[in-house]
Amino acid sequence: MAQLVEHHLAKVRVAGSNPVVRSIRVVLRATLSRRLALVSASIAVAATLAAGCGNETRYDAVVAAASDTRDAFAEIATLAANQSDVRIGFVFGSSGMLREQLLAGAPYDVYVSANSAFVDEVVAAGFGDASTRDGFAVGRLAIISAVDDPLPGNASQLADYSRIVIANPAHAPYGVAAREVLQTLGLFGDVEDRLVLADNVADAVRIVQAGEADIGIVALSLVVNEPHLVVDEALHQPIQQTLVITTRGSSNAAARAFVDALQSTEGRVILQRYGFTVMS
Amino acid sequence: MNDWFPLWLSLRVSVIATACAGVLGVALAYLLAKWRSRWAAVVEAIFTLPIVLPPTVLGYYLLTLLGTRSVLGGAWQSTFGSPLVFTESGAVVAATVSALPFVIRAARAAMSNVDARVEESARVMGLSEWKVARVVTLPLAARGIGAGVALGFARALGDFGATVMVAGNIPGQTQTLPVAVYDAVQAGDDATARTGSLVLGAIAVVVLVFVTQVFARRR
Amino acid sequence: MNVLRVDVRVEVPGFGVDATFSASNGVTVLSGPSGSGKSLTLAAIAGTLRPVRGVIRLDDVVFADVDSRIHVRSQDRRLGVVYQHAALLDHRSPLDNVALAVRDGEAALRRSSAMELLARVGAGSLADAKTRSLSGGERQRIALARAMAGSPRLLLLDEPFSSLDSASRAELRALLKELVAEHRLIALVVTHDQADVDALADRVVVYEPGRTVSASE
Repeated sequence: MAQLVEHHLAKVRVAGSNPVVRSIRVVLRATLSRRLALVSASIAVAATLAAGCGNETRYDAVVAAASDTRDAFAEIATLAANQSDVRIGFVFGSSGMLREQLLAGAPYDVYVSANSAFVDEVVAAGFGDASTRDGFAVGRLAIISAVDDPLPGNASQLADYSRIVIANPAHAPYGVAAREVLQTLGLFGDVEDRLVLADNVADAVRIVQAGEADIGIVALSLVVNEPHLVVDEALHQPIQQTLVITTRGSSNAAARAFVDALQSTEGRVILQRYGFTVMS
Repeated sequence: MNDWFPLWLSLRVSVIATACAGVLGVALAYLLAKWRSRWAAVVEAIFTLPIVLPPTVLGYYLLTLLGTRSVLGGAWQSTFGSPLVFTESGAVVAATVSALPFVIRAARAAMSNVDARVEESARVMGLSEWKVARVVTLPLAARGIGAGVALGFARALGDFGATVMVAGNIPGQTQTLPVAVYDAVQAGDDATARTGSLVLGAIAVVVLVFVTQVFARRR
Repeated sequence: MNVLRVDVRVEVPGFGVDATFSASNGVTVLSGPSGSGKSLTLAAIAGTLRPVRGVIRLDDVVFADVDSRIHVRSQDRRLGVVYQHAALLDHRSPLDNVALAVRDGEAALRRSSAMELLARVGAGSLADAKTRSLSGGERQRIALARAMAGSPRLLLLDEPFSSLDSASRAELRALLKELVAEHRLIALVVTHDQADVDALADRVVVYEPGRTVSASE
């Protein structure tokens, strides 16, 4: 933004020779006397500082969740609101990033990861309440293509596409699974230099939908209502969605309420609608 | 856009950060100008590093320096009861560090452009160094310093990488406007993304006009 | 009778000057080709530059002694300085400019002393004028008042009149002579102008590039 400001400063100086701009400047100069400007600036600053206070949208609990749960959890949040009158705020991101933030002291009340290993790490580091650990569902992979592009008949045709997006395997479990699929099919070496790595699996979906890649291996839960091809689960390790209430969240009733909603019968129905395989 | 919290938070954070960067930056620039040694150049380079570092790298270093497991972060936590990172205070720190180099550079340039003769005659007249700074150097450098502060404000307001690393993206707590726009884009919420971007752009333009008009040279 | 003794070498990157002379009450003109080190000598006496060798002493007060590592701050030398281009604070009124230089007393007292000084130099009506818009001659009068404000024993003037028209120059020369006599000051004036020398000098110190060569009455 600062570069933007400097760039425009230069343009304004040059444009000063333009009669329209000149007259605007004359008007502005006349109205914006130094004192007036300083006074109005002080008022604006004071108003900002005052108005901002007390305007916080207070959420009762903050849930850090892997981004594949974005759509499903919107409904679960409504369910929790109906069941226990709680407002849940979400921080969506790749499971690995969220784990890093938790280990750095992020004030999340619940951690939902797309794999169980990260949750175990968080618990082992003392940030999670082991008794609340729950591998509540299994996620599935799906292939989507850019709008108006045909889907492949089966997964082994992925190599025919020029740009393939997956979530970044460095910190996203869905990315790890997607890479596994490519490796199992013997396609990885071929497509490796055509891979686009998204920050998290929701971003991968956005990239395909925006047309920046022609095909993507993404989370089924994010694309259930669009044309997609489900990936055979034999091609990768299970994507074990696991949750845990953090040490901080264990004293938060709203956190408990969210987890209850998620684990309730209605919650399981919602998850299944989004393509998750729910554990019984 | 139904939740305007990110806007208020962004304004509050960037105003406070700009004030901190302004005071700190001017003081540092003055000390650096007086401290004539090779080390002064090194220190100045360190303090203007945030301009060249990618914001996420800056954020990463800040997180390491101020996180709950660090010395500084631990000290903050024992003093104030809550950690510095992932809070609004953390966002203020990230924004201040991002804005500081702009203030320092502008202040250094403005102060070195002050006629040395005027400063010297003030000293000969008997004014102490502090009075020389207050009565001569700062008033004469005010225009340049003001422009630097305005740039610093624009930088603080628009920060994304460092803020999101140090303060996180906690809705209703540390989700500043640039972060909210990014979030909206990821969620496919084009309406919010558009509104947020327009507001940020509009504020930048207003600041720009303010700077060029108020701090323009008098004819 | 007061005596200023100067025996120093002053250096800046690429140039050095050896200056040896003494000056007593009255006007001593430093003359010589430009670039010979006259202004550098004044800077050392003012305390703006540190000499690399030698001593500067006013009566029994040592301003600078390189061997003994003595260097008195500009603020503490009680001097007055007038530059070629006034070097006033343009954002403050002429009265403020002079009042800031008055050393003792509280604000009201300083302002009245400043008014008196301005009147003495013929700038009494300019006390609240816009400093920025004053003529060269008017600015130099105020600079002179400011230089006198701290009750100095020593006055340093670096080409004080060279930017002025000849009428102003003549007036200000006369004013300077009067002030020096009234207050028994030691005044050092750097100038190229022969008319200045003729009108002002009680003594002349001649410079060659890099050093002083002779002193004459």
